[in-house]
Amino acid sequence: MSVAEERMSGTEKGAGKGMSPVSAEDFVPVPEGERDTDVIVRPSVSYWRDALRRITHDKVAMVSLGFIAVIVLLAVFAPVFGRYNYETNNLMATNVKPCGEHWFGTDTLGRDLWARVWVGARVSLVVGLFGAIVPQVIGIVVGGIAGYFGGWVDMVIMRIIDVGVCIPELIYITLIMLYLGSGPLPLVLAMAMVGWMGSARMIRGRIMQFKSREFVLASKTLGGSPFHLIFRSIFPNILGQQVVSLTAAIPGAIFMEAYLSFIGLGIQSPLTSWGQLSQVGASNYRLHPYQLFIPGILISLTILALYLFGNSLRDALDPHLRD
Amino acid sequence: MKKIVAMLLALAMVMTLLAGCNTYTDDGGGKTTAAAGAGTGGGETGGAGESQGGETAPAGAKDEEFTLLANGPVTLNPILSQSSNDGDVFYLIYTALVRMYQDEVVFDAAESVEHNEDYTEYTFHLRDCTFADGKPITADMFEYTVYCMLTPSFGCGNADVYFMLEGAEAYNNGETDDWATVGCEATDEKTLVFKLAYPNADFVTEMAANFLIPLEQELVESLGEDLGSSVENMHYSGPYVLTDWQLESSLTFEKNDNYWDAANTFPVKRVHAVQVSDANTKVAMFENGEADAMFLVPAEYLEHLGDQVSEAPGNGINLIWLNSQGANGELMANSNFGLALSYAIDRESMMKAINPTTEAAVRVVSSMFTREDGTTYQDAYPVDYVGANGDVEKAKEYLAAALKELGYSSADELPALRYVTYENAEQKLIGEAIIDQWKQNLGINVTLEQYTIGTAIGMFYSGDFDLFDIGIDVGVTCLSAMDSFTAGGSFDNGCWHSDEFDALINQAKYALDEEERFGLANQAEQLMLSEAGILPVFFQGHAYAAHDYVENFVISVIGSGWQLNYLHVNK
Amino acid sequence: MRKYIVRRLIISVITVWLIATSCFFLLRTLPGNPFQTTSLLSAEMVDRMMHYYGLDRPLWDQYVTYMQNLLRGNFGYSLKYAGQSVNGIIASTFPISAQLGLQAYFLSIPLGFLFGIVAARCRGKAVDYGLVGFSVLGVSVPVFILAAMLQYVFAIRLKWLPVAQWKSFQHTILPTVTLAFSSIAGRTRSMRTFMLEIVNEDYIKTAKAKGLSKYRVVWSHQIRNAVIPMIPTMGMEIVGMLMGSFVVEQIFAIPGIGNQFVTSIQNLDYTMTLGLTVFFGVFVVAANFIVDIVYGIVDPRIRVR
Repeated sequence: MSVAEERMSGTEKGAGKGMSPVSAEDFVPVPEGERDTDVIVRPSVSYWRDALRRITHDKVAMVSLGFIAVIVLLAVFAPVFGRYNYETNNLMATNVKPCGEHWFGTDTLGRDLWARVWVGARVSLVVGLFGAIVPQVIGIVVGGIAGYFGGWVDMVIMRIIDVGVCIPELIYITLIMLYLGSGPLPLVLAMAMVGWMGSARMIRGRIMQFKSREFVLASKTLGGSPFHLIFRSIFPNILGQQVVSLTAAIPGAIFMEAYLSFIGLGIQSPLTSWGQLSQVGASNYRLHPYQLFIPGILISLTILALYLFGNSLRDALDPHLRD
Repeated sequence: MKKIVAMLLALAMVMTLLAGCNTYTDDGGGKTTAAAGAGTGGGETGGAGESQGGETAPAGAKDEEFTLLANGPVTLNPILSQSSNDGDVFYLIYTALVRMYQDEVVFDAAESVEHNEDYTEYTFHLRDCTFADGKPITADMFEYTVYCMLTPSFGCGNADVYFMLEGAEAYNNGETDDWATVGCEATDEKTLVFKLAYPNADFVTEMAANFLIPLEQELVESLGEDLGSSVENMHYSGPYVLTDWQLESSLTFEKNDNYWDAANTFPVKRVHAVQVSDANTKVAMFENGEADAMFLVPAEYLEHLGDQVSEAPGNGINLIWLNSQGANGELMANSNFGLALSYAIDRESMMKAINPTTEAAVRVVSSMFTREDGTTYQDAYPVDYVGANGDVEKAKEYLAAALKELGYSSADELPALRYVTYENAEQKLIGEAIIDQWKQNLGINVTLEQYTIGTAIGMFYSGDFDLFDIGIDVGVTCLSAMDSFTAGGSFDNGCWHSDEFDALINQAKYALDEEERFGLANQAEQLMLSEAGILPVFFQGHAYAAHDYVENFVISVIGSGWQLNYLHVNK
Repeated sequence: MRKYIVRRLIISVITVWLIATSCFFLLRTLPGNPFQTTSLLSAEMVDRMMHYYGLDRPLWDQYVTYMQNLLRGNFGYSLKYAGQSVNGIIASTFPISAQLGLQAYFLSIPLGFLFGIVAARCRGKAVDYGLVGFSVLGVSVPVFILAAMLQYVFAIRLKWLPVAQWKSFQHTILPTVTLAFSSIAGRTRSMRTFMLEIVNEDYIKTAKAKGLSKYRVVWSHQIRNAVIPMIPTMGMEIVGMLMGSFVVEQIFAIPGIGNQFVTSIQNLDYTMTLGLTVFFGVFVVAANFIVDIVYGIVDPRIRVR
C-alpha cells in the first residue's frame, strides 16, 4: 500500500501494518477485564460529521480556506473603507504605478485599482461560485432523473441536450443579456443555461454506472423510493467527483465572464470583475504590467486555493477513498 | 514507477531539442518558413529567406516587397461593398475615373474633366488605358458601374452616393425603370457625361472619393453573386493584381505592368496586407520586423513606438444622440438638458487619456475642410458652444434651467438614463468617462450598456436608448455629415429633427457661392449645437507607423485606399 | 447491437434537423439586422437589402427554402461577406482550425495521461505536487494571458518563434501550446482523480491479492478503468478543439473558424451562424454517435436498457 493511501486514511491507524512480518511477540493474550473491547462504546459517527472532522484536520485545506476567507473579507470590506471610489475617474492621474497613494496603481481613466480589484473580486466570486453551482445543481437534478429513470424520459432529456449543446452558447447568452440586462445575476443565469447540459450528461453517465451496483439494488429491493435511491444511495458516491468538477467549474465560470466581457457581453461598467480587469490589463501588458499581474495573480491564487480545498473536500466526502 | 518518470524526463528533453531545432532566426528554421510560406513568399525571394523567415526581401532589394498591417476587406464585390476597408483594396486593384492621393484629386482613367458654368454638368475625357489582360477600358464600363449601383435589383447598399446625379434617386426608388432618365451617359468610347441634380462644385472630389471603377457587363452578368468572391473572379485594371486573398487574414498583390502609369507610380513589386486584431500582436509584429508598416496604431502604444508613428486627422466624428422619442423623451428633448450634458464633459482631458490621436469635438464640421483661400472653415466660421475642456458652472446653470422647465426640484429626481453604445474597448472607456463626469459634475445617474455591433445599431434605429454614442464618417464636404442628420438622411433615426435645420442644409446644397454656402452651413451647425439633440464628442484620428527604410507611407483623410503611389522600401 | 446502431443513427439525423431548426428561429429573435454592422444605412436601404436577400419574406417560407438548400448541402451566402458562400468560408477556415486543434489534441493526450498517472502513482510526493501545481496553473491562467505571455517570452524576447500569422510549422507552435495547455492540465487532473478513485476498488484488490506485479496492476487494471469515464469527454473535446478558439485565433492572427463563429453572431450574419452551427452540429452528433457505440461496446450495461 502506498504512502499516499496511508496518509489519506488519517487517524485510523493503517490496515497497511498487516503487511509487516509477523512474529510470536505480536500476540499477547487479552487481559481478563478487556474481553469486551469489540463492543461499540462511542456513538457512531455520521457521514457528514466524519467528513467535517477530516477536513478540519487537513492543514492544506485549512490554509486554503483561510486564504479564501481573506479574499472574501477584502472583497466585502475593502471597497467600503477604501480612500477611493472604484468608479471615480481622475484624468490627471492616469496609469499611475502602484504607490503609497494608490496601492495597486490606477488605470487608463485614473480610477484607483485597489478599489476596483476588490469590487471586481465581489463580482468574480459571486459569478464564479454561482455560475459553477447553479448549472451543476440543475445538471444533477436533470441528469439524475434521466439516468435513474432511463427509458423515454432519458431519451427526451438527452435529445434536448444533444440539440442544446450544438447551438452556439453566444446565442443564448446574447438573448438573456438582451432581455435581463448584464448584471451578475443574468450572467449566472446565462451560464446556467449553457452549463447545465454538460453536467447533466456527466451525472447521467455516472448514475447509469452505479444503478446496477449491488448496494443500489439492495436498497431498491428494500423498497427505497426513487428519491431515496438517487440522493441517499447513489449521490454520495458521485459527490466526490462532483466536488472536483465544481472546483474546476469555478475558474471556468470566472473565465467565461472574462471571455464574455472580451466580446461585449460581460459585466457592464461601472461594475468590473477580475476577468475584465485582467482582460484590460492583457491588452497593454507591455506598457503597464501591473494592470495585468495584480488581477491575474489574484485569480490564479484564488483558484489554487479553491482547488486545493476542493481536493481535500473530495477526500473527505468520497466513501471510496476511506476504509 | 521510476520508468515512467524517466520516460517523462526523456520526453521533456526531446521536446527541448525540438524547440532548439526550430528557433525562428535559425537558418534551417528560416528556410522551412520560406518554403512553407511559398504561397505568400513565392518565387524568387522565397529561397532567400535568411532574415526573419523569408518574409522580407533580401538586403539591398529595393522596392521588392512591402508588408503592411491593416484592416482587411469585408467583400471585394464592388457593387455590394459598403465598407471603406473594401475601398482600400479597390484602390490598388482597379483604375478609377479619378482617385485621391493625400487628399488631392489625381487623374486616373480620365485625363481631363470640364464642367458647365453652374456646376451641373461634368464631362470626363478618358485616356487610353487597359485592364491587366490588355483589354481596353471604355467609358460605357464606367456608366455600367453606376447603372449596377443604382439599379435596385443589384442590391447595392451604397446607391445613395450617386443620388447627386439627376434622376438617380427616383430611378433607385423604382419610380421609373428608364435608365435614360439618370444623368450618367457614355457619349462615346472616351467620353463620360454626368448631369447633376443640384449644382455641386465638389463633384470631382466626391467622384474621387467614391472611386468609380470600370465594370464589364459580360463579366458581371456571368459571375452574378460570385463577382469579386475570389482572386479569379475579378477583372483587374489597377496598379496591382490580387494573387492571394484569405478572408479576414491576408492579401497579396503583385504589380500590374499593364497599368497605364505603372512606370511612374506604385514602385513596390509585391505588397502583403495582413490583418491582425490584437493590439499587442500587431505592435510586436511591427517591432520584430514581420511587417514594414501599419495603419491604426493602437492608441496605448503611441508613445512606445515614438518617432516611427505619424498622426493625421481622421475622417470620423463621434456623436451622442439624445432620444426625444424614447421612455424619457421629454427630458431628452429639452435643449437646456442637452446643453448641460454637453457642457459637463471635459472632452480634451478625457480624449488625451483615452486616445491622444483624436481631437476634442465642440462642433460638427471638422478642421479638414478648407476654404478656397486656404483658411479652414473652422477658423472662418466659429460657433458659440462649449470649450474643449467643458464648463461645469455653465452646465449646472443649464441643468437648473432644464429642471425648472420640466418641474423637477433636483437632479436626484431624474430618471436613470441608458447610455447605449457598441462593444469596443475605446467606446467603453469613453462611455465610462463621460458618465462619470455627468455624475461628478451634475449628479445625474446614467448607466452604460454595450451590445455587439449588430444589436447596438438595431437599437439605434429602433430608438431603444436614451443616449447613443457612435462614430460616423464626416464625408467629403463640410455639409456631408450634417446632411445625413436631415429627415431621410442616413443617420436619421427620428430622435432629433428640425425643419429649420433641414431647410438650411438644403439651401446650402444649392448655394454655389462658397461664402453663402459656408455661411448657411454654419447657421445649421449652430442651430444643431444649440438644440443639443446630437452632441459632438471627438474627431477621430489616425496614427500610422512605418520603419525608417519605408518612404512616402501616407494616409488619406478623404476617401479610402492604401495610397502606395510613391512608396519606396529602401533596404 | 445492430438494432442499437440503427436506432442511434436515426436519432442522430433527427438531432441535426432539430439543431438547424431551433437555431434558425432562435437567431431571428435577436434584434437588429445584418446590414448595418459595417456602416449605418438608412431604414430605406435596409429594407432594400432585406428584400435583395429575401429576408422580408415570411419566416416559414425562408425556413422551407433554407431547409431545401440544406438538404443539398448548400449553406447559402454570407450576409456580411457579400459574395462569399458559407461553404467557401468553411472550406477555407476549417482546415486551419482543424490542424491547430488536432495538433493541440495530440499533444495533450499523451502528456495529460502521463502526468495524471505519474501524479497519482506518486501521490503526496514532490512530483505529485509539482504536477498538481502545473495543472492548477493550466486551469487558473486565462487563455488570453497565457497566449500573451508565451508570445512575449518566445517571440518578442527570445525571438525563437514568429509573433503571429499562420504560414509554416513554426507559426503553429505557440498557438498549439496555448490551446493544448489547459487541456493537458485538465486531463492530468481528471486522470489523477480517476486513478485514485479506483485504487481501492475490489478488482484492484483482487488483482493485488492474486499477486500481480505492481506494473501489471497499474497498467491492466487501474489505468484502463480510469480511462473509461474519460471517453465521452474526449469525444466532445476533440470537437471543441476542431471548432477553433476565438481568443487564440485573435491573438495569433490565425484565419480560423472560431473567429468566424463569434463574429458572425455579433454581426447577425444569420446564414453564416446557421451554416457553422449545422456544420458543427453534424460533427458533434457524429462524435456522440461514435462515443455511444464505443461505450456500448466497452460497457454493455449502457447498451442493454
